Amino acid sequence: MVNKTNILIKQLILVGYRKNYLVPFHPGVNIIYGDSTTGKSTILELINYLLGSSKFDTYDEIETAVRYAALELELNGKTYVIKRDIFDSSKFVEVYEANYGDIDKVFPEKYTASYGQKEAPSGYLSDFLLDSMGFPNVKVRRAPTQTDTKMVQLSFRDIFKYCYLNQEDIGSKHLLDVNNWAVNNKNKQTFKYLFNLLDSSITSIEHELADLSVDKRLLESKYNAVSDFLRDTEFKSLEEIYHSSDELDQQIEVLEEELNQIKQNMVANSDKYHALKEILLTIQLHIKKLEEDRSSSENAIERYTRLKNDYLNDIEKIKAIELAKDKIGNSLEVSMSCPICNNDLSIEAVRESFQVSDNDKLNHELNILKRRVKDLIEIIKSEKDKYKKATTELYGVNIELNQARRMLDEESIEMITPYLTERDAILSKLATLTEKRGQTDITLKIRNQEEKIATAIVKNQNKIDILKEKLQELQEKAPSLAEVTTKLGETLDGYLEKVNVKNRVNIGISQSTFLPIVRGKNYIEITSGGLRTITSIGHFVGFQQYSLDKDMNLPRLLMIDTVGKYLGKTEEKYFNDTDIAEDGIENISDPSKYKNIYEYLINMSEMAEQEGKSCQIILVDNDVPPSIQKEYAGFVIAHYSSSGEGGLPIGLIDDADVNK
Amino acid sequence: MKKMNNLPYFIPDEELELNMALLMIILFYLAKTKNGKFTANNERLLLYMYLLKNPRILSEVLFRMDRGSLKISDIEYFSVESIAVNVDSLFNTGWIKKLLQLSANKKYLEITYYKTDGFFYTLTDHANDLVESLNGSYFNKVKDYAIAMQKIQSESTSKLNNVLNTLLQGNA
Repeated sequence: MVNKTNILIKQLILVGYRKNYLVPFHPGVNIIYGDSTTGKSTILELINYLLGSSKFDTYDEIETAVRYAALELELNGKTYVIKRDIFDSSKFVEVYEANYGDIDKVFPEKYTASYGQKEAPSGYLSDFLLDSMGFPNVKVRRAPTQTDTKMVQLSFRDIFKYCYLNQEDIGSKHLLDVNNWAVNNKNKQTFKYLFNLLDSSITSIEHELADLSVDKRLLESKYNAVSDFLRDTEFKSLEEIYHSSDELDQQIEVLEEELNQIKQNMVANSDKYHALKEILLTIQLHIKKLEEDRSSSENAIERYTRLKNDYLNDIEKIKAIELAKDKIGNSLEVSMSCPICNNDLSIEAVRESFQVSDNDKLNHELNILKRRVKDLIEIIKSEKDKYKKATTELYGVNIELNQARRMLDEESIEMITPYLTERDAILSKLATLTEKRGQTDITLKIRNQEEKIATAIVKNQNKIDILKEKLQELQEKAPSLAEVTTKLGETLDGYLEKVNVKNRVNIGISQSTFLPIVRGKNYIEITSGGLRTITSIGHFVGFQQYSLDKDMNLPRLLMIDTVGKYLGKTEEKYFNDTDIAEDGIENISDPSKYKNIYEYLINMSEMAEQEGKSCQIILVDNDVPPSIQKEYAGFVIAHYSSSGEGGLPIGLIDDADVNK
Repeated sequence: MKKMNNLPYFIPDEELELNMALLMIILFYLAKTKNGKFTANNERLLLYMYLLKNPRILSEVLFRMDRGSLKISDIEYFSVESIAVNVDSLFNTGWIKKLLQLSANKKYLEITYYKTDGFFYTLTDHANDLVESLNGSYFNKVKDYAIAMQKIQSESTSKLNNVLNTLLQGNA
């Protein structure tokens, strides 16, 4: 019973059509070896696939024999079964919280394997694995040196790269994607994560700093735009603007006062003007009197003339009456009667309607009338004279009036003109000043805007400074990269010593590539493939060792495919990747080295067990050193022979020849 | 007309013989139409007498009825009388009857009676001779007026009265 375990693979089950194919695993070292193409690598690939890798490459035997795969494992003491369709990687991954035998009794959670795909009902497999092993869920910057790049999710897959050394990668110059900048960057971030060099609060601060930096850039460009614009105006500072606008206001006030004064003064200050005005009035009054007199004369003339004519008419009529009387004779008789109605016509009745005058009376009247006419003629004449006189006088006085008016107008013009000129000059100046004042207002507004932006920039910078301080504080608390790489370097050195690599000088881990340095050379510069194999195994061993000693976010599972790559029998396909000569110098094919590796690994896991920690190692190899075969037979969980010699299973799919 | 309140003014227009002469002048020119139809009845004579005594108004009436104008002397035209219009004689009509009676008494009138239209008057030969002997500046003037009135002889009395009313209302 081991505690402090975070992961323990228990068994791999391939559910087949004909039968199920099982691979059991123990804690500690598990060795699978045999001929090539027996499915050894497939086992590791399946485990990798069931832990969420993107694809599984099937082949004929698998396709015809297997329906799906399942992995029974323990995560921090809890048993789960992970089931996945090996043909369609986009299908949901099912996780049962039970032993394999009991999965019918429970409902599975369904997860999506890849963050790029649509989220399954229970979420993502990576989140489940991280949570189950108690590892923090973080986001990291895509490009660590630039504060404003996007943050991406760190997944279980990123971490598992440090647990699984597959056949291609072991001893490869492309170990941990060192030559792919983007992926390598992520891997380096992951490296930091493993050793808690990456604090989640650190990443959130970095995120905030990224946003603030963007803001800062925006504000600065705005400020520059406004400043450029203002540079074209004549004002350098706010004070100057205020001063200038005050001055302008004063000037405007003065001018307006002057204008008022002019308006008042324009009203006649000239004596000559007043005198002329008085004369004009006098003349006008005189004219009025004359017109009145003339008018009354006119009326009198008319009245008297009419009267005179009346008298003349009457005179004419009297003469006619005399004639009529003469001709008609005595029209009134003592007795008269109407010839028609025979009524009496009395003289009295007649006299009621008519006037009957005798000749004396008529004469008398005639004389009166004649006298009156004579008088009237004289009166009329005198009135006519008066009329004429008045008309003449009026004519003269009107001329005087026009003259006086003309003189007055001339005087007015002479008087006002200078004022008008002055007034126009002032108005023009006022217009200019008012416009300038308006311009100043605009400049002020813009200047104020500039101030606002400047203040915002200062505030922003303050925030940035505070956050940077905080960030530094946090980073200081975390273990330093140097400490980590030193420890890893020590482990590597110890391992290389055990394996018996000669000339161990300048052994360490690069703080820039996070890859091993042997004899001062970076890992990728090592030309001997065999040395690279040994070193890469040692590198991964270092992680596991560190995990046993200190708190680390790493599953304590190490899967190595083809331990013997480049050592001893190097397969033909790898000849180009190694310098045979260098291999010779290193004495790579020395079998003791090979054995030492195995022993180191076995030792490591045994020591862990003794301390009550688990460290599961699954080794796949074409061949195992004979001494290991003998001494550590118990660690072998599968030995395949493609010819089936010695009754060994022919491969993972051990009944593949059934249908052949 | 009624004498003006028996005031001691001498008013030539109210003199009896003058009126008789005017009446005869009217009948002389206006008693019959060219066709020989009698036109002078009381009502008509009232109107004619008024127009004769007010030549300015006669002129206006003629003008309004498109019968041309009347030549009036300045004295007639430009007098007090001509602007002080007195319509008394048109309303108090007793005087025309008396005048006619007196004229008939003097054997100046030939009277014809129609049952429907009443009395119509013409002059006797004696009266005609009398009219021809009336001259002088006044009577000559009046005769010209009467001749002018022949232009409206064929108009009905009511129409003439209407025109006159309109005119007088305007002048009032």
